[in-house]
Amino acid sequence: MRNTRTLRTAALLLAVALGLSACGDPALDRGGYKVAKEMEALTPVDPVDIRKLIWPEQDYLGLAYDDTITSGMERAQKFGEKVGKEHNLLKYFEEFGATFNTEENQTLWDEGFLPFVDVEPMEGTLREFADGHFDDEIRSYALQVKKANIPLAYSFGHEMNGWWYPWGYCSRKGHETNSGEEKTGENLGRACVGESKDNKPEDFVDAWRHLHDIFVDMGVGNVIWVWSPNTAKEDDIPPLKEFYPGDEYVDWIGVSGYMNEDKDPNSPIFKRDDKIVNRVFGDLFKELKTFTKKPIIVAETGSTATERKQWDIANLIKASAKRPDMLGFVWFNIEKEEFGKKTDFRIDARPDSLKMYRNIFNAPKWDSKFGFNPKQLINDD
Amino acid sequence: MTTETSLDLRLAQEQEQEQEQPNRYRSNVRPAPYRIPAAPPIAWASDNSPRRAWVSRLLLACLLVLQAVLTLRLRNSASPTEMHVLPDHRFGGDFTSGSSLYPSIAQMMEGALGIQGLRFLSMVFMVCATGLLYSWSTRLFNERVGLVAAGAFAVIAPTQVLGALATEDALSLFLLALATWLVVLSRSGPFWPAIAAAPVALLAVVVKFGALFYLPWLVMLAVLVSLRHTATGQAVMRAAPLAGAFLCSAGYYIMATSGLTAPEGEPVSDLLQGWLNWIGLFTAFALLGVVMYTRRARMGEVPTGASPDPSPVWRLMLGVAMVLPALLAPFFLLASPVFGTVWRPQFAFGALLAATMVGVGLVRLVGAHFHFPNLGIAAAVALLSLGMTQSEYEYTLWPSYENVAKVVDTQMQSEGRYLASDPGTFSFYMENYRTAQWNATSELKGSAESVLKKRTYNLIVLQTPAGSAIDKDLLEALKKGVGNYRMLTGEPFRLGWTGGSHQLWIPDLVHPVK
Repeated sequence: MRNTRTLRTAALLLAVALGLSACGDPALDRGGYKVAKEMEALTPVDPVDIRKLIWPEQDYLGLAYDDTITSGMERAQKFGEKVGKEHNLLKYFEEFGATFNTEENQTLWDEGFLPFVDVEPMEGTLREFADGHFDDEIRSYALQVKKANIPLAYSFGHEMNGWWYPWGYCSRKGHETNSGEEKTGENLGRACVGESKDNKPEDFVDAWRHLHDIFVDMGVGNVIWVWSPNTAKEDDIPPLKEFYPGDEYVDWIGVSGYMNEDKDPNSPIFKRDDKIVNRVFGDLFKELKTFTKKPIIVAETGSTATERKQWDIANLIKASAKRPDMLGFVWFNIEKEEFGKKTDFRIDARPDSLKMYRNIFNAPKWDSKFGFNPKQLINDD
Repeated sequence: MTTETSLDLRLAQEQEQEQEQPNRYRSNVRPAPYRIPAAPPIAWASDNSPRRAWVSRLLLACLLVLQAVLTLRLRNSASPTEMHVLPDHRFGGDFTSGSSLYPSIAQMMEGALGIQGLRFLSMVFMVCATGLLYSWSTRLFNERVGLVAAGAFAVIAPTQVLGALATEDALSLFLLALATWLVVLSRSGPFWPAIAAAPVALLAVVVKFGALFYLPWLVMLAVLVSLRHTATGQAVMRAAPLAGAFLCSAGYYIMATSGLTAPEGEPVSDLLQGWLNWIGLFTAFALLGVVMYTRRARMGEVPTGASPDPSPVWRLMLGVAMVLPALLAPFFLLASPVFGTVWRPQFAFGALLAATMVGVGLVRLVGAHFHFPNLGIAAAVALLSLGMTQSEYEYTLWPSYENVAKVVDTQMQSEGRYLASDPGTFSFYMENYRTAQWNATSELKGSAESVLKKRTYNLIVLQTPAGSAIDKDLLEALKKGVGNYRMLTGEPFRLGWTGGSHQLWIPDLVHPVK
């Protein structure tokens, strides 16, 4: 009995001494151990210098595809062979939380494409992003991008001023995008109903800055930051400037907007509209110029028109080549099915639009203004 | 002792012969055909046996290997503290950790061995110090105490970290351990070790001024251990050389540091917190040893044969001489502030003497005949796990400069102008470093914004989290786009369990080329 008491007393004293000595010991607070070990394991490399890619001499000629990166690249290469013109930017979409696919992005880069990713924060609110709820995922992704050491155009929460994505801004006025019907309680868009996150412009700004700061803190310098507003216009949407994180957080303004068909076959612009670029993007460009001088890339566009499509393509190419602040465009080259309706955005959806595209780039005047190999540009000193 | 009453173990054949010849003997009581030797009063010898000594040494060797492995597992680039004493360092400033003896030795050996070679030497010094600790603990008590003391000292964080740093600490601690060993060696035997201890102790202070504060306890120990075996006069005589060494080294310390500016020390609260975390448990075991040894002198299971027990006062004084330095260690650090961030390993000096009493405490905790081995195992696990965690943490409290040096090397141009928080840190690992091309941020004149707007620098290397106000201002301004710089990359590093990075900023292309 005495032995047991002695043992208990000694064990208690030992535990007290241990507890006291461990009290407030920073060495025992191992919260960040995993990340610290990962960071320690990084091997130094000659860092890729992306400055020349920010505002290059020639324009980007980009294509956007769904599905995997590799399948997009194969389709882009096949399309390039079809039109006799190599493209140099490939955009793909992925949900936030996905792992950065180093191998596929590296292949893309090696094949002469600048990888461009649209990251979609489907889960969580923008405020949660800003408050650090997803820091582990952001760090993990940033670490992979850093390890890859290839340029990456990165856009978080594109079309944040639209009402159709969960991370968008809930606008209750105007008309629904696809059907053209007046917005009601049933077709308000995903930013308003169901998955509504009640996002505010400052939430988006804070989330963007937080994400950007994590990348910078981790020393990720190989990212081109693409802020991607949409051409959406409604009375209750706040001014674009309120969604803008600031010049120090953005490299490109990646606007997105579509050249939709005219519903009236008798309209004078039904078959050809040489002011289509201005009609679609003009107001947006003007508004952007009030608060930033960053270069603009049309990060996502397409034409749903029928006979007019070939002219839409031609007008877009000419506008890009003429505007000194425009870096090129990314064509959404997909036949998309949405709400049971198929919309063919592909350039080669019609023989005349394909022919127009091919002819333009057969002309040295236009050919010389578009398409360069990003990898060669960086390596040529 | 005879065998008359013992069981009849004789062979059956003999018994049969006896029955056949009943009249041959007067009695059937016969002397046994074997003899049992006289048993000693206790079952084992109280004195050292060669086998016990060798088994103990084998266990000690295992502990020393463990210490070496624990030390060698720590990896990082040269710390600012190490850079301060390295011959090729590009720092200015005062040297306040000790005389120029160690830097001179480092200068001689660094070329041949490199920083890793110097660190290896530190590890050897620390392992030797542990060996000496075992030796004097065994002489004062027994092998069991010696082994536990050596084991406890080998695994604590200060020992591991000092063994992994190319600084003067390990050499000074080894010399202090050697002086202690000589003091204990001289307690009853020849006089020469007592004399030899004096120059060794003096040398310990010459190598590192901080060792001075541990010499008075060594003098006290010399008196105490000699008193056990000799007369008072003889004990004083044996302690006198060491006392002389203490006075000489105190004079030397005052002389040598009179013209130097002491670095800014840590706040007292931080020193006490660090002491509690790093050797709090260790000292608690030592105090337990003092209390238990004062209450009862016997250190083994052997009831007789040992020397007469020392008096309780003597036992208490011995405990005080050995444990008080560990208790006062944070205050010693106030008087001898160290350069750089790594100050907690300095507690190894206090822990060295206290380790013997840790041995006593843990041996008593486990009890005679290993009555409570679970307590000993728990204590060992606690000390080892704390030591491993704390040493790994401490050894990563300064950034690794090797990676950033490799990346900066790729950016060097013959005409370039460069700016860095502290180019002296990573330049040590660079191949293309030219001092004239570099400015430290501390040398800048004017505000951060005015410096950046001039776009003078082709590369700016800044550490985050920023260490100084100007670095913070520069980082803020760079992020705001002042001077149109762009972050090329950042080389991450560990800082304890968190991280930081060396950010490389280069001038962005000024005008669009389109």
